[in-house]
Amino acid sequence: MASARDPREAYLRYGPALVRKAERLLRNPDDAIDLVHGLFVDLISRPEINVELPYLYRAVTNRCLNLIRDRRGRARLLEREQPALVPPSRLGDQARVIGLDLLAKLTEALDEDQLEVVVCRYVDEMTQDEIAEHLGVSRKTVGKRLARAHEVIAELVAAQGGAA
Amino acid sequence: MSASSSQVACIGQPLSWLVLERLALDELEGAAAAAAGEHLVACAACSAAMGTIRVETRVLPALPELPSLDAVAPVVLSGGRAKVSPQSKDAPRRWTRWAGVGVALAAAALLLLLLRSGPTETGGELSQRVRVKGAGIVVMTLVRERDGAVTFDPPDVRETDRWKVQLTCAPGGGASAEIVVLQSGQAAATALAARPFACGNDVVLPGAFRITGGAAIVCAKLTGQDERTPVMACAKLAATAP
Repeated sequence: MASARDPREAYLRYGPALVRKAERLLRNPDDAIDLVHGLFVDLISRPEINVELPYLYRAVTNRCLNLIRDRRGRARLLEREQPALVPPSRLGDQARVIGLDLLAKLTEALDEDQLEVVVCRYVDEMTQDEIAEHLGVSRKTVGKRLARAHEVIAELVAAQGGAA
Repeated sequence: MSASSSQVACIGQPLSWLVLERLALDELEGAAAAAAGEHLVACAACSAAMGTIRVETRVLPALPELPSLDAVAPVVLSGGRAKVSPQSKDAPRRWTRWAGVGVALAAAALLLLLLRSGPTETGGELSQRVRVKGAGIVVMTLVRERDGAVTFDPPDVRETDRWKVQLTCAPGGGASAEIVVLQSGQAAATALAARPFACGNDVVLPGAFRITGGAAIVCAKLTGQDERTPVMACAKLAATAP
């Protein structure tokens, strides 16, 4: 099993995968490249950091959410959104299409842990078991966080329907 | 924002993107790799997703290197018109360790000249507006994000600031830009690696960077079409306490 040991090697090896992930969240290839590049620019001065793909996946999630949470960044992202670039969900009937707009609203209603679970489930399309392992929490905790997210999503959908 | 079924739904539980990426990188082992392989054979949706990973090619901007100061300093000292020899990636770096003290001293002297006197000994002024062959007048704008607030061409720097660079020139032209940071006692550092850009209004260079270590001069090394001599657009930043 191959893996990268230093940030420069990791950038070459994992950069494309991380850009694809960031693009699914940010809906824009330029922003995705910018974000991943910025992550590794920070990492090359911190060689002690673990540079394996699961860790980097989480780092990209957190950076994307920070960007979306920031009002100024969010406005720019929404303006540049290219939804067509994002592949359709393979979750079938379980799918919730988490667009940038909904994700932005969720950043105001959910805490970071809950948001990370939402991204793992509906953007990265992980199972609850996989999320639990990925985040180092129990499956029960994942279930609770998802349940809370579903409540908030339902409220947002209802509010949008009421406003329409 | 809705629940929806998809025409490309998986036959069961889809392989996550992380699993697909790790499989493509040959980082899955044993039972996990076998199970993923079996699923891919049976599932058109996941197989298609895997296909997009395998065929997609991404060109990512290079990560910053630490170039030798002697390549950059003459350009700044001469007001941006001195010749710079491109640094070979294959060149041995051992000499930079031997020359570390000298580089630091040279950088300190350079910074003193630039920060105290403004105009350089050779009469060059630091300017964010320069003329570049193939691009015409190019104006560099520094963009600072501090505590969520964005400021254009700010006068000062803190370690927690995040920086980006915008370039403006008449549409139709283009050049190559590399962003370097000069600081006292340190080798000039490439903040954003050289890459071509097409002219336009406020063209944002990909990538962002931070500046640690206090006062700095940020320069865009702009290389025009068919040119080997870069032109420097530079801005001074004073240090401020956090």
